[in-house]
Amino acid sequence: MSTQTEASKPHPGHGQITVKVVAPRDPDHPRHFEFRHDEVIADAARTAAAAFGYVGGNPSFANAKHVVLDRTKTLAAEHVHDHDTLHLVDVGGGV
Amino acid sequence: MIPTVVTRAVLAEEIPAVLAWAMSRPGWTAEFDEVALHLTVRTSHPATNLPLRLQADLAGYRAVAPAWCFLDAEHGEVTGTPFPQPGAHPLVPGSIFHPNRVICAPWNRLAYQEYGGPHGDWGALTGWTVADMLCQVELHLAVSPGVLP
Repeated sequence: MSTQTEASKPHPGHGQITVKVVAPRDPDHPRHFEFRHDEVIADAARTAAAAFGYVGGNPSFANAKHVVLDRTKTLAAEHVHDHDTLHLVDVGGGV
Repeated sequence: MIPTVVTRAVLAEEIPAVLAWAMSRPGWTAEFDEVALHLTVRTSHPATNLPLRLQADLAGYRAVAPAWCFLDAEHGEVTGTPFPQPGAHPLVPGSIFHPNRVICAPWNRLAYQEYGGPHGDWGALTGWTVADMLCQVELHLAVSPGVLP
């Protein structure tokens, strides 16, 4: 379960983290999301992508160093922490 | 082909995000020629530091996908070089850099058979913005081992 939240929302509950997500189509207006720490990256990214108006695709996150995270793992397993900034990316390929 | 005024109106909404995206990436610059409807992006190959110049012909956008191609970095001519080698990475499968020197992605009209590309089975362009496209170029460039000989 994920919820989009406002930056001013009180600190998330136990097991929840709030992250800032930046989308390439609107880099000046990041959004904040509250996710479970054990949420799978693909699911969290899909939630964020939908909020930014993306339809379909293969959304994932890259961290602040622009390293793509494994969308099959959880946010915790990929060392995503409370208040981290994540970049929305689409890891769908071509060819 | 849709009227140019429509494409310009669409791009007036999208280009600020493209420029902001490029400004947030060290080593990336983006320039938009509103008259020619060309977006020119300059960066360097992360593995070789070779300068790269990418251009999107946005005529007809969004009715048709842009025509993305790498140009000769110095003179801006279509020479086919330098072109990134396709990279392999478990988290970024299926490189968009095709060995035939075409960016093979659903958002590049040059990838379609109709425009001389290898693909005839992709659906219409849906949902991608120019900044989204550029972001995917960056993603695949990051795992490209070099440029094609």
